[in-house]
Amino acid sequence: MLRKEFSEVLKQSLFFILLAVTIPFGLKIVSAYRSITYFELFFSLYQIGVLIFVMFLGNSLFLWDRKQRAEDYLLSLPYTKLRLLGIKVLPRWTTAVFFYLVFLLLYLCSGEGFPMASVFSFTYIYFSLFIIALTLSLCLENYIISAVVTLLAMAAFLWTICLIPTLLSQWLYGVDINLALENLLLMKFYFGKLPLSFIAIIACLLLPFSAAFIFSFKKIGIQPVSRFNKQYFKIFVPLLAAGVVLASLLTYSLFTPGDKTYYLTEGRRLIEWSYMAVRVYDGDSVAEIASSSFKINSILIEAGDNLYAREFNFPGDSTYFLRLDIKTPNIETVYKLEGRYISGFTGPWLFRNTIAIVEGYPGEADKMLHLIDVNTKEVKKIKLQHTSRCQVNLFGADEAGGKRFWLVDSESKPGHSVYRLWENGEKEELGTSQRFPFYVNGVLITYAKDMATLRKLVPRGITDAWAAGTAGNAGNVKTIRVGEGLIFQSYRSHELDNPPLKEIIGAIHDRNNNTKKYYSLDMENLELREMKAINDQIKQSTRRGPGWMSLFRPTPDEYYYIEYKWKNKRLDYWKIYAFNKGELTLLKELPFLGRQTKIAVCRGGIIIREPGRLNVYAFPDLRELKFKKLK
Amino acid sequence: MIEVTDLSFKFNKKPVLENINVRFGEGEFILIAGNNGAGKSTFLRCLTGVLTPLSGSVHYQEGLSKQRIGFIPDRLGFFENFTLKKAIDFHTRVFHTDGFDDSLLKELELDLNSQVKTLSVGERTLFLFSLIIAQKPRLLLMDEILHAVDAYLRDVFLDRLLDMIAQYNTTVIAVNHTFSEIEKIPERVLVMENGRFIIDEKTDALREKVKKIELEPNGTVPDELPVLFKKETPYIKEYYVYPFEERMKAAFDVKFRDLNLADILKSFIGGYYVKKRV
Repeated sequence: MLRKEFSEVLKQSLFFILLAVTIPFGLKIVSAYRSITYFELFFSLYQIGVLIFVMFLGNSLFLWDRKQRAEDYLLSLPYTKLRLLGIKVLPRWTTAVFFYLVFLLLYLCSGEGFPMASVFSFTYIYFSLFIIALTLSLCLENYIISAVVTLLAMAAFLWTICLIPTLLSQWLYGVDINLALENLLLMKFYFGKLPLSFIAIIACLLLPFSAAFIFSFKKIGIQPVSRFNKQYFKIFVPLLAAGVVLASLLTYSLFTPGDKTYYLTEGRRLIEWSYMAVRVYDGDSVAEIASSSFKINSILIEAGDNLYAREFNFPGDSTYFLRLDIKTPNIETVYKLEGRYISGFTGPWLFRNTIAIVEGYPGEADKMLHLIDVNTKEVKKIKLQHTSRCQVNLFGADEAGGKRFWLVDSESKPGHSVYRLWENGEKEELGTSQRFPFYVNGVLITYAKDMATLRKLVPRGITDAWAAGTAGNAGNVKTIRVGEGLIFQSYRSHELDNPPLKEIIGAIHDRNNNTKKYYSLDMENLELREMKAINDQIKQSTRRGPGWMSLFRPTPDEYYYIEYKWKNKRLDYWKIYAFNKGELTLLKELPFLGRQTKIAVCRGGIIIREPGRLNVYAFPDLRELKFKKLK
Repeated sequence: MIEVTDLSFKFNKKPVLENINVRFGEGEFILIAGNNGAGKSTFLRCLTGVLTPLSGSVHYQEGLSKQRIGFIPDRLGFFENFTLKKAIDFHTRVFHTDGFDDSLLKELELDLNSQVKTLSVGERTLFLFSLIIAQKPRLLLMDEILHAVDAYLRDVFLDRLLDMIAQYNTTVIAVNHTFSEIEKIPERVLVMENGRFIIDEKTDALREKVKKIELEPNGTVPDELPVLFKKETPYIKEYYVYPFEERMKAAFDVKFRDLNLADILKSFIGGYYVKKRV
């Protein structure tokens, strides 16, 4: 009997494997997914497919026997009912574990950060779905209805898991229910930060399904499912109530107020925010802004005493753009984006007192530019029309002849097209670029293969030396060889009102060899120099393994080279160097970081968080800052 | 061999079996009859363990393992995609039988490589029966399996059944709606009505207790006679009397006729419908 069951499950598994292997091939041939590697496509589909398959495995426990009307024969076999159940479940459980191990193997092969959900989240969902599907397999006779009911039960299960801490957080801390749901659990559940102890809570809620199934199975027969269901629900309902109570008690014991996030400003003020409040620490003092109606997602712009942040309002009916005045301190809504574009926007970008947001999904050609005056809250909307669907970003803004303009990059399949949008809505084409364009000191930089074209849009003293004009170059245009693939890095991507820069930094990233080379371009004489000390350090780190690095420039004259390495999905080490006069100086090294260590690099310095510890180090020398009232 | 005590069963809220108490002895051939929906199939399924009773118990004689109990349900369900060969292999392994006698299959010229789903109802009945013979059954439960089998296969089946009973002293409990072909086999007859056994008699004794009176269309029977069931046509009136006693022959001026088992059982089933109408 066991052999028969294993053989049936094996056939189903082989069919699933065949689909899992061939569908990605088909999709790649069809063209829509040519840019993704076969493995990436396979793994993405595998994660979805294996969830459907494991649900089928559970639901089909007695499906074929029922279809063949073989229950009489099955139940008259010389087995006890529990043994029969064991024989039916064992091959399915083994198969579910096998495909889970395949998932783990693929995950390990996938490299960092690729899977849609974390291993923990996937594990919870995978096994919960299997157990729920299995335990509901006898409640319904039709496979499609079984699948729908299983999915509904799974959704209810997940929502109950989410709802318990949500209601507790509202009851205990008076937190807005949507914020609590977003911050406390849902995001964590899907993006994988749940503590392992949460398994106990999940078990409490899975237990009613399993227990009701096992006890009801003793009454299984050829009678209509309604009789089985009656028995099932008679056991399930009180057990579920008990499970919810137990899960609530467990949640209560695990409960901590939501995560805090930190940001260090250039003026060395530490901003702390959670769904409870926003606090501004300044030396020995602290000021608090109660923010139960705000949940800052991320601080994007720092402009003097004002910080601009984005807030995603769960479950997603609007996106807020907030301004934090850290001097007063005060928090206010600058703009509220509603409708279908709540997550379909790019930006915000700040220029003078205007915040710009481009509304529209990449799959659409037409976009809407929103220009919001942060002081008056006046909004001006300009329609951006394109011939094909594209991704639109702003990369510069300036003023010429008393009129403001924004530089727009429209990226579609062949490359980038660039235009200038004047505040009166007038559009001025500025050509195309092979790579993302750059704007600095009144100069627009676009790229051909290994060349960069610099075009002066607004007069600035710093470019006068080369803008006088030489042979082959028009007075306001200069073409220089930069090497294939070089791309200059924006100084502050969300702030368009930047100071003049004497030099700009670019890098050539060779993804095949996992190397990166940095160059600096002198904006006075247009001399392109290799940043040798940094490039040598990159070579050294890549020799030691797949190292990562970034160059951080908080002010025009400060450079920090940050090097970090991942090992077995955790940060192995982290180093920060100062780059000054062509030399690198190691400022701080953090080897063997814990799994829960979080590092944030901000305008004012770096913040290192570990459970129960917070260290703040300020640029330029990374001296540790102490905030007396910081808990 | 089997002792059933206070057995009750309900489908949803409707009682199907109500406090049944009955014993079946070793080697007995028991026929269970009754109207549709009386609870016969449910009773058999409770005996096999296919259904779990709501209350009460079924005790088998010590030493009677489930491996020696054969059950042929009315639906003749089996794993349809199995070939006969695979089905035989599966059944003999699961029931730990010593071997399999394929003579019945050869007699029917069944191809062992054909699938179970390709068999006709008659072939399927005999195939399942041949699987059960391999179990050397001490108890065989058959649920209304003969009505769809053709006359030839029915004879083949009954021959083999009698051989099997002789060889293994098998107790047979058969639910049947057609009685003529097994008229002479059952030793004991039970009639079920509304989830209870209303008759539990040795076959010969039952024959003595049920008699028929035939009258002209204008004829009447005395009110004192216990009439189980009355059948009227424009030409004749039939009265089925139960329980008949010998003294009635002298007491009443009517002719009591003997009945065969099929007619006796039909009269009980007919009596149920008369009562239901009333």
